[in-house]
Amino acid sequence: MTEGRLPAKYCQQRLTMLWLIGGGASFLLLFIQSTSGKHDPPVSDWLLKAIIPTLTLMIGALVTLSIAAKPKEGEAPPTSDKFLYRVAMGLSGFYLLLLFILLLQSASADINKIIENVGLMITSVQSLVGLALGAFFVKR
Amino acid sequence: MILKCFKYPNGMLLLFSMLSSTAFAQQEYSIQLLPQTYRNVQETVVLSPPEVNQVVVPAQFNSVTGVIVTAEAHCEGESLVPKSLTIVVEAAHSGIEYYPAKYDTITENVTVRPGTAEWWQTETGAFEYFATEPDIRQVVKRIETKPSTERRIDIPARTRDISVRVRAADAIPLSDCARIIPAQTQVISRRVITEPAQVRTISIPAKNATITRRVSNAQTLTITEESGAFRETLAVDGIMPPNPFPGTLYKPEIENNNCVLWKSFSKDNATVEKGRFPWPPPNPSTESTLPDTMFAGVETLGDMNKLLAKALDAMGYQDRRRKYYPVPHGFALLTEIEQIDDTGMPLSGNARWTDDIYVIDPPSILGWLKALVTKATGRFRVFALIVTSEDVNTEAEFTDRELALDWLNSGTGALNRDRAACQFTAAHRVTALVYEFEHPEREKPYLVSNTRINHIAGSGLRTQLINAGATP
Repeated sequence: MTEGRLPAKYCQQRLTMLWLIGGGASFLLLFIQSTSGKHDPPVSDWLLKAIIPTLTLMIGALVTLSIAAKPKEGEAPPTSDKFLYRVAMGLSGFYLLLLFILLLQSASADINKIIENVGLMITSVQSLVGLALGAFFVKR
Repeated sequence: MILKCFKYPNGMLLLFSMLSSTAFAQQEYSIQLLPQTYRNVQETVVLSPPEVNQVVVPAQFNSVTGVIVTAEAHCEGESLVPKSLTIVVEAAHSGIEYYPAKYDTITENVTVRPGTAEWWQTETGAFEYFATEPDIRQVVKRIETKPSTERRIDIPARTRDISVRVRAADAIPLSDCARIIPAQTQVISRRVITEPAQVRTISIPAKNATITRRVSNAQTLTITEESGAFRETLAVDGIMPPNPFPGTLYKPEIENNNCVLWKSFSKDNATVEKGRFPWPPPNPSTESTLPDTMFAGVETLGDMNKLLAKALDAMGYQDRRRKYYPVPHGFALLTEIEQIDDTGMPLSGNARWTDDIYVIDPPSILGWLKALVTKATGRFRVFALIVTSEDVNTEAEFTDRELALDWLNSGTGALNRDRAACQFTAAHRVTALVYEFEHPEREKPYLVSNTRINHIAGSGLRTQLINAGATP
C-alpha cells in the first residue's frame, strides 16, 4: 500500500456505515414524528430527499462491486486518497449531524420555519458531500 | 352607554320621558332642558400699578458777604507777619442720592368670553352637547421689579485758605506809632444753607382698563309631573352624562336598580357601539353561574367588582390586562388570555401569558421528548365574568381567537364610577363564561365547543372568591 492511499473498498464500506447509522437515526426520528402527525408530507419529502438518494448510490455501488469479477492475480486492489477519504467522512458526518439537529429543533419550533431559515445552508453542504462521495462511489 | 346614577333628592325614583312618556309606578314626568343663558360682568384689569416717584430737591443756599482783614493796621515802616487763615465758604451739609424703581412689562392672557359648554334638547327629545373655545385677549401690564431707594450722603464744608498779614507779637502799640497805616480788608462771599436737601414724593395713580366678560349662568333642567302636581328645576351638573362627545345624541333609559343609562346615538340614529362586549354573548366553551348566596353582603356593583378583582389578583391576574364592558344592568369583566394545560391549570411563569404553543411546562426531559415526537398543541382560555340581572342567553357562533384578543384591546381598564355606584340587587347573578381555544401546530386556533376541562375548578375561581370575602 502506497503511503497516503487507502483501499477503496475500505473507504466505501466505512462511508456507507456512517450514512446508514447517521441517516438511519434521522429517518427513524422522522418516521416516529410523521406517524404522530407532527410533520406534513412536504417536510418528510424534503428530509427524505436529503438522505435516500445518497444512500441509494452507496448501496448500489457496493452491490455492483460485490457481483463484479474478482481482480486478476498480481493486480493491486484499487485505492483511494487518504486525505479525500477523511474529507468525505468529515463532511458526511457534519451533514448528517445537521439533519438530526434540525429534527430535534422541531420540539421547540415550527419545522417549516426552521427549514425556511436553514434549508439553503443544508443544501449547500449537501452539494459538497455529493462531490466528495463521488470519488468513492462513481464507476471509474 | 354612559351610566349616570341619579336619584331624585327626596328619594323618589325619577323617570325621564321624551316625546313618548315612559310610565313607572303610575307616575309620568316630562323633562325640559332650558337653553344656556349668559350675563355680562364688568371687570377692572390693572394695567400698571400705582407708582410713587421721588424727586431729589438739592439743598438751597444763599450767598452772604463778609469782610475780612487781610492786613492789620500797623505803624509806618513796620513789617507784618504773614499768616494763613482758613475761612469756610460753604458749610457742611447732607445730600441725597436717589435710585428710582425699576419696572418691567409682561403680557397676560385675560379671558374675555369663557368657552361655552351647554346642552341642547332636540325635537326628538334627545340631548346634544356643544362646546366652544374661549375668547382670550392679551393685555400688557407694567410691574415693579425693584423698588426705589435713597441714600443720605454727608457733604463736607468747603473752605478757603487766605493769606493775611498781622502785626508781630512784640509790635509797639498803635498809639505810639508816628504814622498809622490803616488795615486792609477784603470782601468775601460765603454760601449758607437756607433749605436742606430733601426728597419730594410724586404719586402716579394706577392705570386700569375695564373689560366686559360674558359669563354663563348654570344650565337647568325643569322636571314636570304629567299631572302638573309638581314642577322642579335642577342644575344639569351631576345629571347629564359626563365626558360627552360633541355631535353625539344622548337619550336616557331607566334601569331597575335606580340607575339612569344614557344611551348614545350618532346623528343618523345609529347606535354608537364603541368597545362593546357582544350582547347576548357568543357561545362559550363552558359556563357556570356562581351561587347568589356567595354574594349576600354585596351592595353595589362596585363592591362586586372589588370582590372579583381581589379573587382574580389571587389567581395570578394582578399585573395583566383586565377589561370592562357595560352590559344591561351590569358589567362584563374579561381576563387576559392565558395558556393552560390539559387539566385547566395555567402554565407556570411567563409560559402562561405567551402564545407560543411549543413551550414545555414544566421543563423536563420527558416533556421535551414528548414534544419531539408528538404534534404540539397550545390550549388557551379567557374568562368573561358577567354581572347582570338579565338572563345570560348565549347564542352567537364564535370561533375566532382573534376576536377574543380584540376584546382585550378595547373596553376600559376600570369599572365606570357611575356604574360602580349602582345597586347589586337580589336579581343580579355572576356568570362565568369560559372561552377555551385550541391551537394545534400548523393550524389556526379554534374555539373548543364542549370542553371536558372543569375550568372553574382548575382556575380556583370559587375558592379565591371565598378567600376574597364571598360567603362560602
